[in-house]
Amino acid sequence: MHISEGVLPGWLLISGWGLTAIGTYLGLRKLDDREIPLAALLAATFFVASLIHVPIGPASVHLILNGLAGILLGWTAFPVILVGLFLQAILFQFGGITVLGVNTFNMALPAVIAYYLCKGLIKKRNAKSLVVAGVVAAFVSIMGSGILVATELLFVGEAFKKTAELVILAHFPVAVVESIINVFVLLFLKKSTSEILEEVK
Amino acid sequence: MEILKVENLSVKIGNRYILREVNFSLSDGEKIFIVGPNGAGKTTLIETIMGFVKPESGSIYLFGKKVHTENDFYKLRTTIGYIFQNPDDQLFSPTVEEELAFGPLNLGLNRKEIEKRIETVLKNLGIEHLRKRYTHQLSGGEKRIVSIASVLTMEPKCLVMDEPSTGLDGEKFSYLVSFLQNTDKPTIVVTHDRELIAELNWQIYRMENGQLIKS
Amino acid sequence: MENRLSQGRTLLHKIDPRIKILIFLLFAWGIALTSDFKEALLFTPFVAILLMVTGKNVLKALKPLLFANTFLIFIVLSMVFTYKSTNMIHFGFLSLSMDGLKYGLFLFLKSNEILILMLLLLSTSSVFSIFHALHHLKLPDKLTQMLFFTYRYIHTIKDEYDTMMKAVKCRGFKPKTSIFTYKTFAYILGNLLLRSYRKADRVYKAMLCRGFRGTFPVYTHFSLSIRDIIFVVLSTMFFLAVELWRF
Repeated sequence: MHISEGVLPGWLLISGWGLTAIGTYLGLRKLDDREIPLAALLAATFFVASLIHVPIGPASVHLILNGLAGILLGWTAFPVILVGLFLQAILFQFGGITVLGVNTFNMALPAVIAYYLCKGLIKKRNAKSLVVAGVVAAFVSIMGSGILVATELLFVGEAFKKTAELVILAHFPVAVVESIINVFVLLFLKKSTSEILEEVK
Repeated sequence: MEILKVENLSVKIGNRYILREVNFSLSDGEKIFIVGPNGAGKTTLIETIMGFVKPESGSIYLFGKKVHTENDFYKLRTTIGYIFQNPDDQLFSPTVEEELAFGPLNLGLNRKEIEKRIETVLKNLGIEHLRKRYTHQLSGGEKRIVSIASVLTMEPKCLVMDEPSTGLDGEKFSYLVSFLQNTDKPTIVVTHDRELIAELNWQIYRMENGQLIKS
Repeated sequence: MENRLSQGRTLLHKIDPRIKILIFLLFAWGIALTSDFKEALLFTPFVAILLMVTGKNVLKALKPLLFANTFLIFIVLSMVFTYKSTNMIHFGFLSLSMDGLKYGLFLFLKSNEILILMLLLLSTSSVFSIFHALHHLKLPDKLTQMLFFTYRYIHTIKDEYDTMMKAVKCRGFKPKTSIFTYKTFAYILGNLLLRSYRKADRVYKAMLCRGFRGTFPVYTHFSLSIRDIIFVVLSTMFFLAVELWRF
């Protein structure tokens, strides 16, 4: 979920940019020249994937996939998500620029946490551990983002207590759908005998 | 003069031999086809020459000099113009103009020289109108021609093209044929397009089970 | 996928994108850091002047802002209905807070001022020239390269995705709430990822084939005109006047 421009107080916007700058610095430091096209192509893939709406009951949700991005990219999730959200801001006016730091942090930090929780499971590469990794990544990253957004809204004012609860609730079905999707993506990558899972460091 | 020579080249991936003792050479004025079924090792041969695949044994010579360090391959890559099968892999710059400038800029040429090369190549290929266009908005045929142009601005000594006729319609196909006929650069075309082979009366090498046979 | 207003020919289109980015950042942060409605209101003349300069084709582009505003309307409404203050107005079971309304409108104004400026200043250049300008404004090299590559290949990947969707639809696929649907989307996504890895490898090889040695060369450059300088001076004067007024 993108937070719009103009809603959050200044100190939060600035801290968000500060933290995102640190995360992006760490992500770029680990990225050597030959990996730039790969990081960018994955950013483009996740950008396109975020345009996919999947039905859930009578409504539909759009995929976020920050958990999967975290697993595949580790700290590089920070620059990849930053680039993706920047493009959404200038192309579609989703989110914004002063709030880009906060929005990136909200999605990328849980992604990095998911990476540390799941990388051991991914290395085992048997079906059972991939299933667990997919579910853990989805819940940690989606619910983590939800909790961060909700907490930030509480900083705007006490009045947002109800809204914050709603935001967390709204993330739950997305986490369920993404668990299933993550699991099948990971199993697919394993079956297609690709080198991708081996490259998870 | 002999530009490129491949001697007893073997490539093993896993425990399967993709290339076995391949020998061939390319000299000034020569133009050849390398044909063969999918999976015969055509692209692997090219990628080994360009230094992307490490051979099990054998050697590659550029102007009679053995190529083996990373620096030698840098020289080789900028001497042999390799045109990829899928132009989308090759065209990564925003505009056609910047795409054409990419190679020469890497070679450290000055702006005046680069500008001259861009103009000449655009004019020779008859695509001056594409200069300011975005590469991702070009049609399939236009992308193919621009990918050729992006290699020509480096002024390579010879050309290697992987399946250049893929996705070209009648008019663009004839354009390619006349380009291949008229270019003064020695050329290797890897293809399994019979129509293209029939149009040009070139020496044909056949790739079968990892071996290259002159036919 | 291109910036909404990049095709026009107004004054704003002619201004150097580097300048537009800097002025946008100045005002966006200025507006974001205001603390009440009155302060935010001081910036409206600037937004209004730019809107007039851009003329009528901007109205078309403003429409999508309404959709971008759903989050915001949600915020304003929850402010109005849940804020606790002394001056409440009661309509039956509903109680509206005037303070809440005031605060909600303040956020709404701030947000839209920034969004409109973003449209007017950033969307009046092509996406590539914005990236290019960011490069000249010293954004880290790796990040600008990622921006260029990402935007370039979004189109290719979107095409691949569309083709795969057509292919599954031709075989009778209809998305619904089922494991099968999610699995299908997951496999499509898996395919996109796989292709991206392979394509990234080939793109890198293609760069090496044209002499790439780690630094990305830049061919085109910007140059400032008198118009750019006048725009900077007037905008900055306006900004300083507002900031002085605030204190």
